[in-house]
Amino acid sequence: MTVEPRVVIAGGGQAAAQMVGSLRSQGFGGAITMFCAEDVLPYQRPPLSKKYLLGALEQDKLLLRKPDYYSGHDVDVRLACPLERVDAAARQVVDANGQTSGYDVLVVATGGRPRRLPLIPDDMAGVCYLRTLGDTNALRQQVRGGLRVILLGGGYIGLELAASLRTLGCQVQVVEMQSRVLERTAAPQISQRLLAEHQRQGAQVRCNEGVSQIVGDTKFRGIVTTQGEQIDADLLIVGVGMQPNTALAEQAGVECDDGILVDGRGRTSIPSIYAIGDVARPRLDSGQPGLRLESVDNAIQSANRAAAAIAGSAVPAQTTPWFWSDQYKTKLQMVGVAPERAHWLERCSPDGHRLSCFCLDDGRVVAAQCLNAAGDFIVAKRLIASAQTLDPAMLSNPSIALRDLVTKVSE
Amino acid sequence: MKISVIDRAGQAMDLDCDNGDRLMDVLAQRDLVEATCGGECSCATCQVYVDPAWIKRLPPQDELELELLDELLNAQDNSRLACQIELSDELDGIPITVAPAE
Repeated sequence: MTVEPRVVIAGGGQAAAQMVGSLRSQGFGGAITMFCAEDVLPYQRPPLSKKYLLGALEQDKLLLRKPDYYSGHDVDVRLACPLERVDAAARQVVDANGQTSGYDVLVVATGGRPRRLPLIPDDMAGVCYLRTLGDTNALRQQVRGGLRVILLGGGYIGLELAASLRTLGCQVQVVEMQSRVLERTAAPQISQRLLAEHQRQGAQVRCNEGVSQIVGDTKFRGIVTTQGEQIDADLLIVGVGMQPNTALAEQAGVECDDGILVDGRGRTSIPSIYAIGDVARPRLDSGQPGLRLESVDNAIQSANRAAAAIAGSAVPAQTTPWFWSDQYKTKLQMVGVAPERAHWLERCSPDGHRLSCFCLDDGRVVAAQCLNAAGDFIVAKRLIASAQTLDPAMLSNPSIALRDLVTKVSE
Repeated sequence: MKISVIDRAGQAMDLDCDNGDRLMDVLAQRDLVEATCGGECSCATCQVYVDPAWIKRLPPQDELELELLDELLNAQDNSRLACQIELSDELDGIPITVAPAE
């Protein structure tokens, strides 16, 4: 009888929790040890900028699995105990307590950290970043009605926080360097609609502007924009993207380039080391687009594929990535990744409430973004999977039900 | 309390849960549904079929849940999204079948 491998997981986020669940649910019986950097069991991050910040969700409801799951499935969880070093040749790791553990398979799920700007002093009071439960708890302590908040970055974190903080009665200004909010990822029509909603709710949004100076010494007092205007504020929240935590993998000798390079199953350049979730970047030669995706869907799918490979089961097929964001009562669901400066076809309900945008390549839908149109999103996933060619005029005609355009059933 | 579940492989099981648990969390914790969006009615991966004798005991679907269910290929008259169902003592023993993945 073969002995099942010992799995060590570096990280304790969504991907790590999925790896554990996926291994155990397919009958994997080997030892699993999970080294978490934070002092809390794996939890959902998306509500941190929304329901949890608003106080509409309690902390224990954030947990992806209840504490008894781990004991009941023989998973050794080390909290507040990140890995410090890997000896890939000896297949050993050293944790923050200086303890050495052996492994047969190491799964790196170290996620990322908020990108910092050199201009902004690290230790200034009134400057926040948002990634962890601790970050949100610290933010909650400071939030009160009338607080003047500057959100640097009009990405998903920035806009979701803008919505939550407005709801909590703060004065909100969003400062975005690009010419529109969500410029990197959303269709221009979607950006436009979200911008209008944020303005309607009383947030100020400045595009084509950045920060040239921080005002304050030990305590944040405001910014000077690149247009030379001073904005006084009580709090600065920086949401200008994430950097992958590759240090451990790099030290282990794994090939990295803006993320840990992996194949379709999550294997890195060292065969006994896998990487999953936000930190992993599919290699260009892996048959994938080579994009590092920061999403819950990617955390789950990449963990499932790697877990199947580790457990020796059939590896699930790649699925089209998808994302969502909720801002006020506006729901945005996106599937597929469009090329930069893509042309987006619009499908808008007569009352203007529902808006779906489609990116076509050679007549086939490759990406869709649906605003207040959850049904369209479900159908769009099918349209992408079926790869059928479509008449753009039919696609943009809201009087034709989207589901009636599906002529091919995939699989 | 307990609920009576048939998973996607056709396996029947009784699952322990607490008054106030969301059905989705009970199923996701056991890897019986993906529940990618964590209960925001965004992914529709937590579809279940509720025993028709019990379906009237559940609060009705809101517009968003109905819109999603309307487009799912595997939806039936007794389909619900598990993220929208809060378990309570009146639902002790409720028979649930996890719908196939879309």
